[in-house]
Amino acid sequence: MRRLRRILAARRGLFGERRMVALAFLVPALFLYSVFFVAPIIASGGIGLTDWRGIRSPEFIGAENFVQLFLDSGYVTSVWNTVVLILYGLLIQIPIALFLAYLLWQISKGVRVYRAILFFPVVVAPVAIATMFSVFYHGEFGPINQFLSSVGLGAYRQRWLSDFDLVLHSVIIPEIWRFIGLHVVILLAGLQGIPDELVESAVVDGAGRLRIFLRIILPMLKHILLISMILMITGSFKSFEFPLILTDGGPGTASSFLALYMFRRAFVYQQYGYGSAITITILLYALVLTLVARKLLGGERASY
Amino acid sequence: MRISRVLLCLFVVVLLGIVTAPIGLAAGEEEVEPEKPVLRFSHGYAGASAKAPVFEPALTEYITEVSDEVIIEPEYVSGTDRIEQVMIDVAAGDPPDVMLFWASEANIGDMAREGVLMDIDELIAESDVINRDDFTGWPTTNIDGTYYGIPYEAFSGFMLANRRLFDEHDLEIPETMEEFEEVSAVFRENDIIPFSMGSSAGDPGHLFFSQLVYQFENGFEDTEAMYDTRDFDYYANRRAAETVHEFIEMNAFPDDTVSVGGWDEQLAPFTEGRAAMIFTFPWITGTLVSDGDPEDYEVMRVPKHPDAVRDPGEYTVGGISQQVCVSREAWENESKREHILEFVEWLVADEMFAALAEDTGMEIPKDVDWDMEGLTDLEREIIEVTSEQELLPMHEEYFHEPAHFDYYKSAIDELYAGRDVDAFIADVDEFINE
Repeated sequence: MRRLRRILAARRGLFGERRMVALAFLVPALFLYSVFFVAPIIASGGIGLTDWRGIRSPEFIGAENFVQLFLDSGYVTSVWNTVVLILYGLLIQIPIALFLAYLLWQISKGVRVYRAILFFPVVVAPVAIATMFSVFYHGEFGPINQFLSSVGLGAYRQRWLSDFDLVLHSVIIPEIWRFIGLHVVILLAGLQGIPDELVESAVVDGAGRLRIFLRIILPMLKHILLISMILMITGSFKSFEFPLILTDGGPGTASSFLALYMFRRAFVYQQYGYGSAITITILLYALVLTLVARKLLGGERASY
Repeated sequence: MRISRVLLCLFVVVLLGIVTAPIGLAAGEEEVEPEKPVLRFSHGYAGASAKAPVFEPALTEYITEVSDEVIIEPEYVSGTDRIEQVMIDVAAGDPPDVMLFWASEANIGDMAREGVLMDIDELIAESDVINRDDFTGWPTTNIDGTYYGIPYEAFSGFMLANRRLFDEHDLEIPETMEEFEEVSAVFRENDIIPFSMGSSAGDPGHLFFSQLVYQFENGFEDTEAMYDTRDFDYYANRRAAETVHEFIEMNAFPDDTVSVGGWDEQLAPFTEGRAAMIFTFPWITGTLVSDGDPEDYEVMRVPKHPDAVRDPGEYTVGGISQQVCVSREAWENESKREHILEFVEWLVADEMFAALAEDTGMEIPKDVDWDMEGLTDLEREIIEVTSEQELLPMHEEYFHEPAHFDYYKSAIDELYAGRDVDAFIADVDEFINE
């Protein structure tokens, strides 16, 4: 008996056999994660405190880059544009994805086909999609403006990529469109996890479609929606290809998002210190918004 | 219990393997390290470049020829993305050994001052075949009195008109802004873009902007002085920015100047016969000839503004776009030096320049006998007209840093998209004085 206790204690202790085995499994992953994720973030933070230009030796300048950021109109515009992108995601992308997922959940035939069609843009290279949209948006020969002219609405032709008030929305549309399918697949998986009995019993109790959706489906889907929202928010902070290919973030910074602005500052302007400071702010924004989303939607997991 | 111990041991072994693998690999690399030196060569004359059909096969042949003694690794990236690639290599402490790179202070100033590039006169001094006097365009390779590159590709701007479109609409090619406005109105009524000019990442808008600036009072002098004064807010810049707005108001530019920004995007409406005029540069002549109807095109003068003090037909903007640069570190490596010298001698040989000029229409900055017979009438006309014009460097030459030049190009995009002149001038002025 005493021997058994000793064995169990050895297994449970700080350096118990089980913990050591678990640690052995974790160490390779932790090692790779530290080398390829944690260390670069720490290094970025360090470079962000210098004036490194890639060639000259870096000089420590404290928080000057971070102070300068908020006086930099290009940075402020890029932050605002990224906020607009997130709002598009919250108010248009995820609701559309939820609606489409709900429709797919309702139908019994062809779900896989529709799901594959909706998911298709996610697997297409963003360069191809951006090139396609650059043709659509072409001011002179693009099909959108050509169509407007052909139906007598020539007065509504737009300078899709050079009108300061319009260009941001022109760049956001392909970004939003591309990832709707991803959220449809995630939300559909969540919907398929809701037991039929719950919905059936609500129907028996006389609940209408809207009530079932609001009172049963949405609460049950809360955690899946949270995943979608976190993916959308973090994705928005990484948004890069569409503004780069369609407008290079311009004119000026009118359609630039944070990731592109960071790229331009670090690699085009060769201001690596300043670019690293932007990277750190991107990380902080993503972290804060993710925590806020978790706080708002996290809570108790719905149970049945 | 025994299984757990075995697993534990196994993972410790695997972990040790992961950690020590790089050491083993490094050791292995040392053993198989080739004795032949490796030269990394960064260039842009491949892929869709008009120079690729001549340059790439010749380079491949040379690499094969010298492969017993040296390994030459070409690194190709298209367009100005290559600047970023090279600068990242430089930041990583691993610049290409030899490169064809953009000239001027904004592009090589930092690399020159920080000792990344070698004084090219040292290389010329060791060569029996490279003669400094054979080349033109040296000033753009000069940083603080030292020359860091051998001029390789020159360029001069020119304006073309599609004569067929003018004839079809019974119009004369304009020489003044007033005439330009008249023909623009007629072309617009007929769904033709009068002037294919846009700006995305500054191209080609910033080059035409310089062309406009120099017709106004002290335009070139104030631009040249900008390097010392850091003053962007001068009369000619303002007048040129206002002239861009005049073009916009007369509906001469395409509706969407960002869509038609970039070289190919600007050229397409012209070669498709949807635009009547274009201001462009020699690197598009290959596509101009292959995709368009060169017999319809005619070189025209840039229209003169009523307030101009200098006829824009008498000068053009341009300079040296590419130069041969060599990394100082590579040059100081004894095992590489001889091969670098031979490679650069091959790059700047008369035969290479002649082939590039004859077969691709490249403007060469070396005094070489070459046969113009292979060129089209249009290409010959372009060379004849531009060679008679005074060649003036662009604003690009007078910025201190790549960041200043890039910011300026970004502001040029905004200007062509209709941004207010005061805001444009103030923004650039503020940025270059930060």
